[in-house]
Amino acid sequence: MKYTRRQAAIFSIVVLGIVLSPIVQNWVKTPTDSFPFSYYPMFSKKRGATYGLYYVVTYDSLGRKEHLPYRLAGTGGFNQVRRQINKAHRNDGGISFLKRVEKHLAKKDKAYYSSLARIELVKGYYHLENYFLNNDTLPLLERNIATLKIKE
Amino acid sequence: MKTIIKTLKEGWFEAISPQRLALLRIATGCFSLWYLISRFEMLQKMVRNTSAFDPIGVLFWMEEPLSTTVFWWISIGLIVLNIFYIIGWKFKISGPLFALLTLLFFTYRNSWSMIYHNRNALVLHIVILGLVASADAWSIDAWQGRRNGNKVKKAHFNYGWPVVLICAVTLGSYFLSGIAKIAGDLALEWANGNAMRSQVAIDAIRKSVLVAETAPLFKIIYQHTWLFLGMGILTLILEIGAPIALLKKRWGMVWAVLTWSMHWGIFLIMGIRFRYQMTGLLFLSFFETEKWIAFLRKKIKGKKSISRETTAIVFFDGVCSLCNAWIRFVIRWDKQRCFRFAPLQSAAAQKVLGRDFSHEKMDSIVLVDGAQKYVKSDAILQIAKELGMPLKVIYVLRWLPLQLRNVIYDWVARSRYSWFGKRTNCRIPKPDERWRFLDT
Repeated sequence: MKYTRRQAAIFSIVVLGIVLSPIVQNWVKTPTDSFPFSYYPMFSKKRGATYGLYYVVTYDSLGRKEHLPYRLAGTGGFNQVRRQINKAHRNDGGISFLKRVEKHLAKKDKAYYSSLARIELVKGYYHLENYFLNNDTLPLLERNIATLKIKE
Repeated sequence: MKTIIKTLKEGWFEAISPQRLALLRIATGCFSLWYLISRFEMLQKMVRNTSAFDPIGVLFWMEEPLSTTVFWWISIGLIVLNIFYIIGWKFKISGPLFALLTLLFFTYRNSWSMIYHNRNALVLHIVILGLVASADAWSIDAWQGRRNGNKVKKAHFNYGWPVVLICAVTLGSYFLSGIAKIAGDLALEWANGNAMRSQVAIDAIRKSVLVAETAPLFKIIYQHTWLFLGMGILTLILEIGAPIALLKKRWGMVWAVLTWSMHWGIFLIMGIRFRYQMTGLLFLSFFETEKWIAFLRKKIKGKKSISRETTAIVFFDGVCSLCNAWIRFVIRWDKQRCFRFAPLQSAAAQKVLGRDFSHEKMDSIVLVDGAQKYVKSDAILQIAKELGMPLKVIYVLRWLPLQLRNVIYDWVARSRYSWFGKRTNCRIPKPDERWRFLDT
């Protein structure tokens, strides 16, 4: 695989052109990210003092609440599971997602699963400064998206 | 402008040794292989969750995900091609094939609701390396070429421009990242540190709420707002200013070290592991790495290898056909003239080995290297090690327990006469190899 200088120059220009082409996404109305040619949109969104995110909470028969670790909520790495949770409410309000989580829980941690009464998909809003500087870890608001009863 | 274009033109077609390109091939190949093997199970599970399938990039046209069986076979095929890519075997075919399949495989892997931007550079690097002459050194192809009488490849622009292109692609991706920050909602808030601080806080709250491992330094750093000012400015300089690093080699090296440090900073503050970046593999193209390897090889050889001043002696059973065949094989491969030879029946053996090896104990080959003495499987492996690649690979058997190795050795040794025959007298060396035999 030897190239002449001209071929090498064309190859280089084409590759660099393709790699840099996603730059236009910064100025289009509905930008779309891709792989492996990305415009690297991460860390470019403006964030407020509060932040809202989707997550799964579990309740046992005594009504005790716990946040479900991401490892038990989906497959893949942390960010991948987070995306799966974010998208969960789009299909039938999140019920099929919770059913998958229930199945996963029953398989992965039987003891934990048997203690549960229900699982919920929620969206919570947190104040960042209060959360980290004042240890105020309660959400400002927690909205229920979907509930799946495990025991009556 | 003219000076910049001239500098770029000269730099782009600089003659670089094939070893640098080969090292990049091996480094990217090893990283990719590690990824494919360590994530194998996870990936097979991931593709079962068909509801998360969201095709992107060159796979945008896909309507349904592949069946899990097909994906399993593709994963295995990619691992096999990955090995061919590392060892540089049939590279004219295996290189482009691996490059293409890597692009498709990683695009498919990123088509499941989440794009992993830290894999972009790896895939782009492999695509470039798979399509250029990156197997002209440190590869099976190069070794076979030398055996067929081809000359060792020297520094040439054909090895230079792909290295520079890899640097440019790396710099380009950081530049894009910087532009996205400035063009986005945050714009210059990145320069006063506020943007970075809020991004870091959001990452931490996600991890806290979803019960994931938090970053080691987050809690200490978050309260010091001024630290984010410095880090924000440095990030912008490294990203927006990235293309400048292409103009001078030294600037490129400084940029690489600073950016590598930035990734470690991201890990310590946000707990995000960019492995290809943090290991430094992403930045190898900015350095004359082949010189480091040559230096290390020199150091290791100086310490560990059999001393060239005092040639090692291999004692063997002179009437055994198998042993004689082994000695002929060693002579053919011993280009460095590391070894001299003597039959165990000879006076030289008596003199060097003394009473340790009587005529009755001729079922073991013996390697004497100065004060060191190796017998049975140890001797075979030590000799193989000194014969260089690819025979050196056999030395990995050293990890097997000695007893197990010697049981196999003894079994062959006991049967050697019945399997391979016995000579009536010791072999007489050819005139050109006579000097290598003691007692002749």
